[in-house]
Amino acid sequence: MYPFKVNNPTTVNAAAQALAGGKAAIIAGGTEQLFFLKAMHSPATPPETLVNLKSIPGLTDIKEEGNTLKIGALATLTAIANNDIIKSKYTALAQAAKAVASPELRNQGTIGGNICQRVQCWYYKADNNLFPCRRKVSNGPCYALLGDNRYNSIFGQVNTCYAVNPSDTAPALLALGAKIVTNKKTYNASEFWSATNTSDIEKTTVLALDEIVTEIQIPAPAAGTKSAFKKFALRKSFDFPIVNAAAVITLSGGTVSKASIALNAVHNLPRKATAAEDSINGKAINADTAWDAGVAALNGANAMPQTPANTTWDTIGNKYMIQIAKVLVKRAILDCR
Amino acid sequence: MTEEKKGISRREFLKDASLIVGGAAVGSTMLGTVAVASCNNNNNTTTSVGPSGGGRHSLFKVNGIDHWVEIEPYWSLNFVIREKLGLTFTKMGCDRGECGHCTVLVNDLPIYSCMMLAQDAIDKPIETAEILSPDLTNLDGIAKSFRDNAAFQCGFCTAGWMIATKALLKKNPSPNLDQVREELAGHLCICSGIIEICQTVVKIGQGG
Repeated sequence: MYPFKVNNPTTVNAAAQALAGGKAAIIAGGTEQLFFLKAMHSPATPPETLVNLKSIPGLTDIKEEGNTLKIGALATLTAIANNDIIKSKYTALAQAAKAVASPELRNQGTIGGNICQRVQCWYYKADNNLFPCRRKVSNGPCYALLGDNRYNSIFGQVNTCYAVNPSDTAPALLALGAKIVTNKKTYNASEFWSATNTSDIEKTTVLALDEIVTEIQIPAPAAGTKSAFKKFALRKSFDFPIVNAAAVITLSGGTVSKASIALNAVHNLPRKATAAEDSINGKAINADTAWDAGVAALNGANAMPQTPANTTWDTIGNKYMIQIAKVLVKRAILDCR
Repeated sequence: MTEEKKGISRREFLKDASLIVGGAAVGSTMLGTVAVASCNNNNNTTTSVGPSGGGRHSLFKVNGIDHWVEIEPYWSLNFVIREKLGLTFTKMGCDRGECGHCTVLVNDLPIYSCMMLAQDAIDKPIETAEILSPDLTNLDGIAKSFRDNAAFQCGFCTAGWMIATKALLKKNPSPNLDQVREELAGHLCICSGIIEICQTVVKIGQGG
């Protein structure tokens, strides 16, 4: 790695001040930030300073206060996956945290880092800025559009980018109706992820330069609510998702009274599947109704175009992701019975 | 062919000799005989890399021994362990947190040492694979089972698997094959010896 400095602040305010100049970047678990600093995927000047959030006390707590579960942004994914309250009442989140990467990375990686992670596209992530794409340089080509797009968006582009958001915990938080607290503001999960700001290629969220996620709050689910998370990846044990899905469903009298379903890794942003929610609402859960909801969730999904340029690549395209996503939504709903 | 070519030229002699030395080093690494000074030192004395302890030196408690090292903020824990402390059982594979070869235990939890800054491991208990095989006559049960069951091929990934196995068995003393595969998912054996390794770990848990 190149010689950078590390700032070890002891308060969130001090960390925000250190970030304000624009020449610094956050490091928490480090598994994402160090990956990209080593890869040098970006043409931008790398940060002079890393601001280490681990030196700030009190950001790792997981506690239930009244009707709200509060998770510190620096709680590790292992801690979340093993927490008894989360496992019993917020099952989808525990399952999602357990599905992230490998045990070693979960021991280091934090939930704050997981929801703020960069988009996934093998052209964008390639070492040494091998593919200067639209996200990195103005008027650059979209290599996924021209080349192999088997893992890219099935819901079209956002700001001409077809990369996907690979977070596993994001759809669980979205479906559970979480709030994300920063040092400046509290966001609903539905407004937290945002389209790429062309001035900052790393950005996948609405956060300002000196804004730091400090806590995640999840309202207690209503009585009779169950939740589930499903992930499909090429390697079951340790991989980014091809598609993942979370469902949170409240049953009363055998029928669904409230459904909340979210998908990720299918689009530039985590995606709430409102059509699927409407489809399952008021019905009993069985294989047929769950499948109908899965089909509804993928309304409007389209495989990326196969252009003459990439047919010579023997590419498989990303049409298969649509089928996988339908099945994952179905399975997540069936697990909420 | 000229006369002088009949004998062994100096260059060829040096080449052969270095191959033998290289081969010997690899062989003894597999058997755990590489004498690492700090590893054989069981008195918990302070060793120092650099002028002396204190000042700008940071404390690394590796395998129960205190090391004082003057570090740069951008150094990874793997760099300190391998290059500054000379504990070379821990390998550097992908340098991207994908292969598991660099696994060490920090606070008893397995982590990838390439993905942790050295400054984050200061003052924390660190365990590397050296702790499993201080010398040939004193192999830890895990290292002995890996050797006896030939749970390795080239051996490059073995230290990572073994130290993660130590953490796994502490948490779950007799795991079944599914649990082993889940808990050791973060390791790659590029020679494709994964199933032998996982079966060996199950066997260790069953007492053999």
